[in-house]
Amino acid sequence: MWSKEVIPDSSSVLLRVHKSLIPDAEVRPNVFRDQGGGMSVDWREYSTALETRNRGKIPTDNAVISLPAGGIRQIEGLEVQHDPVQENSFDQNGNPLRPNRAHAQVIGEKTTERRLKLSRIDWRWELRPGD
Amino acid sequence: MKLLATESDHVEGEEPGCPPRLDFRGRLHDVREHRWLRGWKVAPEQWEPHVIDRPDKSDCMRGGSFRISRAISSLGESDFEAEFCHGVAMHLSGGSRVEMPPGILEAITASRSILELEDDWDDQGSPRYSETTWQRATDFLVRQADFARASLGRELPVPKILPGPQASIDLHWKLAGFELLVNIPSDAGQPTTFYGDDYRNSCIRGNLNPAEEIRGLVVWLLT
Repeated sequence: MWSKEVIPDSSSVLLRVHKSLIPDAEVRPNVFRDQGGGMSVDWREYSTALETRNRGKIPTDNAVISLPAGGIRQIEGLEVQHDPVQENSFDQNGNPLRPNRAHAQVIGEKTTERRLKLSRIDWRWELRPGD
Repeated sequence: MKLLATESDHVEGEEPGCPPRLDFRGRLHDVREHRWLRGWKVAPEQWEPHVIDRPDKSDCMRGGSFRISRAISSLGESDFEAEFCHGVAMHLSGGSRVEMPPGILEAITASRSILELEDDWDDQGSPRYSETTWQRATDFLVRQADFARASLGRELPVPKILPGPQASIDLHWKLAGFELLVNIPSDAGQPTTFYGDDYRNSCIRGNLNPAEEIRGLVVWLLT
């Protein structure tokens, strides 16, 4: 069992971005959204960009960007929390989840203001669309 | 003026006292569901019901005709050009001209691709986007562009119209001096929210009614 760790401000997290959200290869506020309890990301400590992309159902439909944990926390109301997916975990519908030690959540409602501010932090392309 | 999704629009069979009859080509969908005709609200029931069946999967009509509503024909304009905000344009014969900024029309037309996304389009369970949400978003944009032009004599900057979270639609203006995000929710009962700033200390935020001209917002966009 993996313990929950503190993700330092100096570290970064990886976000998978579906190609439909970036038709002109520009990251805009609509990229940032909650799915369930938060915005799912992978802590770079335990994942590469390629591994993050490959966790998608159709990996090649996705790009990957990295976001600094400290930059996210500078936006009022947002927090980055390590949330590893343990062995024998299930989603809300009872479907089995693949274990993922890197999994983390950006907690805090993604309001219009926060989404715009997330689009401005020092994010970087790790895998561009089509890479 | 740039005409989108149209070919050889023209009027035929116009008789005194009768609504003009139009032949046109364009997207049937746009014609059937469009309520907004450059400043005149046209109730859907004012259109002839037999507008034309979709001839093929591309949604493009090969041709057809319908009667334009009394609301427009009673204007008495002898030369009138009108556009639907979806990009379908029509011409009646003769005189005055009403136009929309081409950039706004193009943005609206391009944004229809949002409606092609199916449930779980991102493999993360995101729902599809509804026509009504898209309509509210584009109506809002047209309304603000109209106000900017008619009342302030200025062209509204062109936003990106984007698929937002939870089937909402985002309008995003990103310019050198300011950035603004307006989010139109899928549930019309939920507030439409906005946030904008000048990348420094001046910001605006709050809720708005997308069915109204938001004068303060437009003025701010044009400042």
